[in-house]
Amino acid sequence: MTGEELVRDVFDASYRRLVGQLYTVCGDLPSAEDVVQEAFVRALDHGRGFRRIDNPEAWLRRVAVNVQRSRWRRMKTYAGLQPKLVDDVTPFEPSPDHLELVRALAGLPEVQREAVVLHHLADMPVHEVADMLGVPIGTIKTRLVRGRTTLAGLLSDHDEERHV
Amino acid sequence: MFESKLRALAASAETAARPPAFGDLIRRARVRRLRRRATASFATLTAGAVAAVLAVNLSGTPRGTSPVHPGPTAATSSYATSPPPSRHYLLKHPVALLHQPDAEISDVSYADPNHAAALWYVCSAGGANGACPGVLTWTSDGWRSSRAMVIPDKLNIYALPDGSVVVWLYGNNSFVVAPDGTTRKLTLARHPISASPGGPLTNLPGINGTRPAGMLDEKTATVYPPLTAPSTRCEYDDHWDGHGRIWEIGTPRCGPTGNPTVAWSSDLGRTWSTHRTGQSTILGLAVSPSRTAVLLSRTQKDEHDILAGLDVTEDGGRHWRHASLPPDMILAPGSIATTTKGGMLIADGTYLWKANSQWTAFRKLYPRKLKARAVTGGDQVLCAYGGSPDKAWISTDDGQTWRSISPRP
Repeated sequence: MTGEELVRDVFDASYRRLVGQLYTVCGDLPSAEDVVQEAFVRALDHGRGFRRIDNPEAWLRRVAVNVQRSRWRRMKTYAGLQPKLVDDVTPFEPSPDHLELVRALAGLPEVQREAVVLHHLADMPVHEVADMLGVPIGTIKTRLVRGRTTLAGLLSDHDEERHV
Repeated sequence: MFESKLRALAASAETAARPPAFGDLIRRARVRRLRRRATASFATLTAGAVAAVLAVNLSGTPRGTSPVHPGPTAATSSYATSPPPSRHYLLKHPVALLHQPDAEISDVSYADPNHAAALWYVCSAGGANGACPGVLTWTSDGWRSSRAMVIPDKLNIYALPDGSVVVWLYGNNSFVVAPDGTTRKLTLARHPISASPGGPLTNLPGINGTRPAGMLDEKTATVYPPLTAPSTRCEYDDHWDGHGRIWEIGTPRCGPTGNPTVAWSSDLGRTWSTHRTGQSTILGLAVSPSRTAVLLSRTQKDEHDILAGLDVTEDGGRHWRHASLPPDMILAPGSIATTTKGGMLIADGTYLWKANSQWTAFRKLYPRKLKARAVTGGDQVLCAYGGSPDKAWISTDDGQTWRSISPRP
């Protein structure tokens, strides 16, 4: 099996799952699809080396998250310019229930959002999340606690708004 | 509560995602490679021009020091001291190669607890045509002692119960290494076996998704190509279930997707029965004398669909039942194995999962974090490897207890 065939297999099996996970990190579907596609292009670019990777899906997730982090950095630099360059693209409308969660996730700082998604959605243990993001385990634990607390607060706020 | 909401949100995004044509991604990767090459060529030309100018300018200046050669690494110094070992020297000394820091275990094959072989992949040494050489080690006494030899590339290996090792080179250069290190060429039959062999046949399956070697008749050192069911246009592993039946996976188009079926034959491939799984991907077959299971995964999804599962038959394919797998399994081809005792094991890249005796439920095995990428099941032995570059794990009690081995000579 060539590297390209292996990437194709992983693409068939994992593309949608990765998009689902990255959607909760990025907050919008086009960005999620974009970073996941970028990860697959890099996998193809990796050639034979990709065959030696133990867990291709985890590798792709790591690349996609890193691509998204670089984009966040760039977006901060060009924050003022961006609205003039692109229109909002929202082809995917989450259901009202999901919309609350999307808003709540968007309300989290990026570092907390990454930690919450990787740990709770991608089922990565804390030490693997720490390894992937290049920070100490304690930092990830703190981000998880703060992220969950903020998320709980934001979700209950939304519930209260609904009741009112 | 929050976790389930998060999962539901991700699932809805999964459903909405529209995978692009894979060809587009290939084109993007090619364009990127071409751009990089063009940039590199330009940089080389520029550097060459600068060096030429400097050389002309400095040609009258005496040299300060002689050229510095990199010395041997600590790991290789006991085998090669001074002068530094050349690549040729290293290739002649498998043990020195094994002590390269990037020697990475790529395959382990157990025939029984004593007879086994392991293969390392050493990319820094650079073999013929730029391929990475492999170091084959094998033992007949459970790794208390072992021998080693260099083979030209990463290949499939198969340990046999008589202590020899099949080195499969995808063609006419394949050979068998005897316990004493002498080699014997394998004969490749042009057609699948058509009559019942005198002795037992050994299945030489594909490893980690590679193309299978076929069936080895040890008496005549002949390898027969795999049988191919009518529904199969690609070659897959033949699995013999101990009752004369051969099982294999078939897909209408070459690849893991496309409405795959499982086919089985009781008459050496003359007639076939099939089971259509209804799932889009089959990742492997687990065949034991008492039951056969098909490891499934899917790419299509709706609310009622499942992430992964098993189709199991206990009556030679007449009736099938479906068993769910833990939702957090991340599956890959080649990650399922059975033992002769009827046990079944799945490696999902992070954990090893053991099926209960009925193959209806799974639990994580000790040690929990093997990072296994593949498992091989044999007579009494289960072996898992991957993750750690120089270790494999074996269990000789059907997965109850495990010990790590580092089968270096």
